Amino acid sequence: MKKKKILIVDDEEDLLDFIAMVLSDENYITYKAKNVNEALSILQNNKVDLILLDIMLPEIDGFSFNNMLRSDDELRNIPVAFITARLDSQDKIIGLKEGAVDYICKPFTSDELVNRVKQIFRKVEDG
Amino acid sequence: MRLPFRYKVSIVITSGVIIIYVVLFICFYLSSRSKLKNEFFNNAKLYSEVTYDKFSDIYTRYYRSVYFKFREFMLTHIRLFPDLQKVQIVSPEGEVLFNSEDIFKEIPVREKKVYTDDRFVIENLKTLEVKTFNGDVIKIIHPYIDRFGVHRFSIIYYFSYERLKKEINGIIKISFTGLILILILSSFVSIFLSRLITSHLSILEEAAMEISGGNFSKKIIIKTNDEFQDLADTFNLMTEKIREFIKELKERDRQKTQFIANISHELRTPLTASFGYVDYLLKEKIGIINEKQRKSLEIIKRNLERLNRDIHSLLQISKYYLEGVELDIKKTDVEKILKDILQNLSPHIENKKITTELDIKVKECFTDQEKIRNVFENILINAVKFTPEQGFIKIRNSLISENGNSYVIFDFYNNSEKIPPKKLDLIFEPFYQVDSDAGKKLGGIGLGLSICKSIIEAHNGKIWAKNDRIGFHIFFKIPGGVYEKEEDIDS
Repeated sequence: MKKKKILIVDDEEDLLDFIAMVLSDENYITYKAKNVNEALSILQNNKVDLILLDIMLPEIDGFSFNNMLRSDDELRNIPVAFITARLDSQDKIIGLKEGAVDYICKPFTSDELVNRVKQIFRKVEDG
Repeated sequence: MRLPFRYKVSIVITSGVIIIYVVLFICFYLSSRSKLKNEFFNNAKLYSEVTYDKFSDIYTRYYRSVYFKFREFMLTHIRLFPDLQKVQIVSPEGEVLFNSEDIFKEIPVREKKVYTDDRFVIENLKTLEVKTFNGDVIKIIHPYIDRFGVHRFSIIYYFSYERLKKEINGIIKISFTGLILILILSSFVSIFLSRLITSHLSILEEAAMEISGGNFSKKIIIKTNDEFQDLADTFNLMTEKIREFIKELKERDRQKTQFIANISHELRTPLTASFGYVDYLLKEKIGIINEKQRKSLEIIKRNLERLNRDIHSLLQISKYYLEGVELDIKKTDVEKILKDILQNLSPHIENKKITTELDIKVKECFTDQEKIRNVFENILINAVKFTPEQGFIKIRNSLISENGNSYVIFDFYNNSEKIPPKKLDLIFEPFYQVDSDAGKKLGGIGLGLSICKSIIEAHNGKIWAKNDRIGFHIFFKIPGGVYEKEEDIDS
């Protein structure tokens, strides 16, 4: 089976490294972006299967970036999962309304992360 | 009784107009009456002065000789002054020699002498001056002295006010008609005027209603260049200020929410990374670890977990205080949630050999599922923390009725240390910790019960604590509930 490619967008380098490490250990190809610009340049050169997107990003936040993706003909089909640190379900609701497939709440363990990602791919393949 | 302002205004205007009219009328009436009377009196005097000489002459010359001539002359002259009631010629002794009322008789035949009975006439008959009496009837006495200087008789004129009175009464009648017309007219005008005034008031009222309904963008336009315009301008200024104020409040509110979100992000992101790495290390994904390393990592992990819990509580209580508690009320199976939580806590419960008892009479409640779980968790985590080894935790609920409202009351009972009665209310305050060894050793930042309080109060419920002989209760009640075991509640 072809290896799935995942783009991780988070301005916190340590967390970014952690997520990338866990997911590469699970045999995913990972790309790391610290902001939206980096993410866009990665997307130009690579075809990814999933974007893990932090909501709180400098300059352009996750919601706005997601909206940019939704309005792009080529990129609109890439599933996006938000990484959120918010307490309430408000972000979840907004996120899902904005066309995100899922959300992952901070803090999370490696198991939770891997399970969530697997679930998302299952969901995307099913539907 | 509530009288609308516009009626008040129109009543004031109408009564004002009427008062002015009546006063003016009275002045006019009094002055014109005295003027007319004076005029009348002067005319009467003038008439008597002009005619008395002639009358005397004609009387002496013709009365007894050529009566028809006398009569004709008198008739002509009496008719000249319609208000002349009668003319009498009276001798100084009081005998009525001629009375103009008798003028229509053919011949002046006298069976017996007639004397005047007029007091004024009798009193003044003998005087040789002209006497006037200005009462209801004007009387003028002109004495006639012949060429030999003998006072032969006096001519007495009686002038009547009758006609004048009628005239004046006519004026009063016309004025009354005028009064009624003025009344009708002024009420119409005043209603119109007050409408004009109150139309501005109703514009203001409408705007005030809009504002109380939450619409602050309503502007009032009154261009009357008077106090109404000032009021409207002030009103607009007020709504503008309120609008700005609300905008500011909203902005501040947004900033607070943003602040919580930022703090949440800032605290959780490093926690996620640390926790993630520790967890990953413990899973030996990065490399084999020895027993000592494992123990150390477990301690780190446990502390990170505690930190996470505290951060969560802190953010939660800040959010509740800043934004209030938003509830998503639906039918909730509380029994299932309680069992689930006890299951999660079972390692700790078994570890301390605590017995638990669940006595649920109301299985389903109308409540916010997530938040009530949070309440149960906070209370039960505390209970497990403070219950001594081999102690008990009893959870009960039932339906009660208070002032016609039904509540579901929950009772969490354990045999932990008692709390000093003075501090029973304080345990629900944020950051309050019961000063006990157990409390300090077991950690936590004292937010659990204040979170419970916020949530229960958002349900319009109440939470309180109570000591009893063997232990400690936390009660809370929330409105409503679904009957599950009706017969139990009845008994």
